[in-house]
Amino acid sequence: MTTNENGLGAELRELARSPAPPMRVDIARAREVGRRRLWRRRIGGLLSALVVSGTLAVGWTVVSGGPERVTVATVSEGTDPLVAYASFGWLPDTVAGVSYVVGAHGDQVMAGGPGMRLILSMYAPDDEPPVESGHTALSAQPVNGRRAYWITADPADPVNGGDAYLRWQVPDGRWAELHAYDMPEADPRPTMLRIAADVTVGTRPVPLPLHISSVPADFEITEVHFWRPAMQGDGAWELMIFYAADGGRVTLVVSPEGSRTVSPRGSCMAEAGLELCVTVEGKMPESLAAIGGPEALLRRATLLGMDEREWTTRVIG
Amino acid sequence: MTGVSARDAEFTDYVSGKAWWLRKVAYLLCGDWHHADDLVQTTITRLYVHWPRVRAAENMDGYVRTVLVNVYLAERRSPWGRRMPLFDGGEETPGAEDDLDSVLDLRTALAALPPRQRATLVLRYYCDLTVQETARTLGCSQGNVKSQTARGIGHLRRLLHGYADSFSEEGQP
Repeated sequence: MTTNENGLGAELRELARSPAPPMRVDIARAREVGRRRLWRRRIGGLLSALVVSGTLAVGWTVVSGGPERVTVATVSEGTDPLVAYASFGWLPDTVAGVSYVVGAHGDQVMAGGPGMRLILSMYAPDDEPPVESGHTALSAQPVNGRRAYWITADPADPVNGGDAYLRWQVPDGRWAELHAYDMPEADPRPTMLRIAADVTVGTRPVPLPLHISSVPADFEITEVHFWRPAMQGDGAWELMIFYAADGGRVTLVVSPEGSRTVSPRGSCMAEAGLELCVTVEGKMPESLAAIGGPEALLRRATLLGMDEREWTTRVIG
Repeated sequence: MTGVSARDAEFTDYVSGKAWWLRKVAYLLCGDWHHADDLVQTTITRLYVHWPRVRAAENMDGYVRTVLVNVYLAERRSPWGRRMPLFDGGEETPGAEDDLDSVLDLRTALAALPPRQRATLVLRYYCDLTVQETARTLGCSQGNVKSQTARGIGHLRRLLHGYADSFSEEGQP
């Protein structure tokens, strides 16, 4: 391997010639999806113009401003670094698990199966449903007796071409949203309504598979990613807790032992069928070095096994 | 030909002729053929929506390459994309074993580069773009391209020598 500048071009060309599976690019589908987008833009623009001029009013249509989202889950400096404000209940059998991605890059609660995604979001309290400019709220069957709407760019298509949004009001006046795409059903509405009816709104620390007696005082939690199933490897889940301290980044990764296809980096331990790895990127925080480095964090950790009933919301402390 | 049918015909002709090229560039960016197909699919869908702008471009291939790179970088910035595995070493890749190790080393090393660094190297050394053309494609300064290139090459060297060392150690009795 040369990696000199002349050789790199040749090596990249060689890499691009490496054996490949049959191409899945579908030009007809690109045309079809592209046409649909063009059509929606034109219809959206036309509807906005008609509503502004008072000629047409269909459901609740907003022509300016955007709905105000509120946090659906968050990182916490408390004993549990992952706190959810809304949680899924019943989910179809095709769903492999519920994932949380919270912190500096946004907060998401997602459930997924083969290709499909269900994303839970919350909006600020309001008398009317949150509706983006150019979109329309079409009445849906009430969720737990409360108003619900399909939000769509196409008033003739409640499920918005398979990229479906259901919003319903919850008891405190906020609005919950279930966004679903690539659902296996031709009409996903009954499934979405059933999922929505079982969503719980309320603060809930999410049980996690480890306990750490303490972390250095200057450790500031920045993100938590709890993927189910794991994004890499074949594990049922993967938990990543990101801390920033003293100009460095410390990451804790917990996964079922042997489930990761990428060799673990950093300092690792295995216990109760789980593996915990601690990595430091950038500068080693002085507070971490002072207690003995990543290995000291490993010594302070207890892994709680695969049985989720044994997991804890007292993760730190 | 006029209207929608003209758009469809021109689009289909152009994309049919460029799909393999786009797929290879996408593969070098993301390191996985299936993922590369997804990137190309997203790219050509955007091309269809903006087709009048694409065909009016002075350099159509350059325009299309820019869209592909933007699709890749935008995806890597998203929460899903940041956690989406690039090459994880698990994909079966049939082929001649003689050449395969070095190709896989490079693929693994590329996957370890930050997305913009990786895109810079692919544009400079696979697409043979000048610093100026690369800067235009990435929407950054020429100085930024030069520094990303230098860092990327350095990073690759360190990674590839690391692999070589680890292979040497494994080979010790």
